[in-house]
Amino acid sequence: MGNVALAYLSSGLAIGLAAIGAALGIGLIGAKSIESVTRQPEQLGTIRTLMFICIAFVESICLYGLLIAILLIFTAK
Amino acid sequence: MGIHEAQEALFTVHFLGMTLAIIKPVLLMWFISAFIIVFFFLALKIKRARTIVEMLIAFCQDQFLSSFPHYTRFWLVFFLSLFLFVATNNLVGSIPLLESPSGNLNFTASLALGVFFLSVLIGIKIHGRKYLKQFVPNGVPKLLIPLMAPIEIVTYLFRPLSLALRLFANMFAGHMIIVVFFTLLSMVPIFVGKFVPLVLIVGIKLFELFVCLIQAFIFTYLSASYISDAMKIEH
Repeated sequence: MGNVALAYLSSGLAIGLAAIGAALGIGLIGAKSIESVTRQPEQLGTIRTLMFICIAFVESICLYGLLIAILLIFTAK
Repeated sequence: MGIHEAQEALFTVHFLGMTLAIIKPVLLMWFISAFIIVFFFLALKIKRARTIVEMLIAFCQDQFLSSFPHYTRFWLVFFLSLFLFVATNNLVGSIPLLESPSGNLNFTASLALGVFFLSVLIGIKIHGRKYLKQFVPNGVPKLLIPLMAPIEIVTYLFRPLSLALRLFANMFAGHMIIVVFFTLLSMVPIFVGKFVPLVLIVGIKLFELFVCLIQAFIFTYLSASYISDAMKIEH
C-alpha cells in the first residue's frame, strides 16, 4: 500500500477509535448525572455545571484524535 | 495545499526593530479587545449594558471564584475579562467573512501559556521553594522519587497544553465539519435532495454556537482551578 493510502486509512482509524471512547465516556457521565439529579432534585444547577465540565474533558480527548485525523489527511503525500 | 499554510499579511508593523505581519486574526483580536473595553465604558451610562455587566459579574463570582483563596477584586476582573475575551473570540467565527482567532493554535497557546506562567509565578511567590515539593506526594520512599517526580512533572506540564489544544481543537473541528457539510451539499445532484444537508448544516451550526460558549466557560473554569491549586497548600 502506498503512503497516501496508509495515511488515509490510519486517519479513519484514529477518529473512529477516539469516538468509541468519547461516546462511552459521555454516556456514562450523562447516566450518572441524571441518576444523581433524581436522587436530589434541588441540586440540579450544580450537577448540570459539573456535567458540562466533565463532558468537556472527555470531548477534548476525542478531539485530539480528530486533530490527528485531519493532520494525516492534509499532510500525506 | 493544506490547512496549515501561512495567511497573507494585511499590513506590516515595525515595532521595536521587529517587522510584524498583521494577519486577519490579529486585527480581529484588536477589534474585539476594543469592543469589550467600549462595552464596559458604555455600561457606566446605559442601564441595559449595566444590567448585562452585573449579570456577568454575578455569573463569574458564582462559577469561577466560589472556592478561590485570597479572593480580591483583581481576580474577578481577570477571570471576567478572560471569559469575555475567549467567548467573543469564539463567537466571531460565526459572522460571515470573519474567522475566529481561537481557531489558531498560536492564539490559544498564548492564552494557555499566560495562565500557566501566572500560576507558576503565584505559586513561587506564595510558597517560595516549597513550590517544587508538590511533585513529590506524601509518604513516598526516597528511592521512588526519581521515578515518580518526572511523571508528576509531565502531568503538571500537560495541563496548559490540554487547555490550549482543547479550545483550538473544538473551534477548528467545528469549522471543518461545516466545511465538510457544505462540500457534501454541493455534491448532491438532485435539487430536492439538498434539503437534508441543509438541515444538518443548520443543526451543526447551532450546536457549534453552544460549544463556543461552553468552551469559553471551560477555559476560564480550568484556569481558575489551576491558579487556585497553585495558591493552596501543596501536599
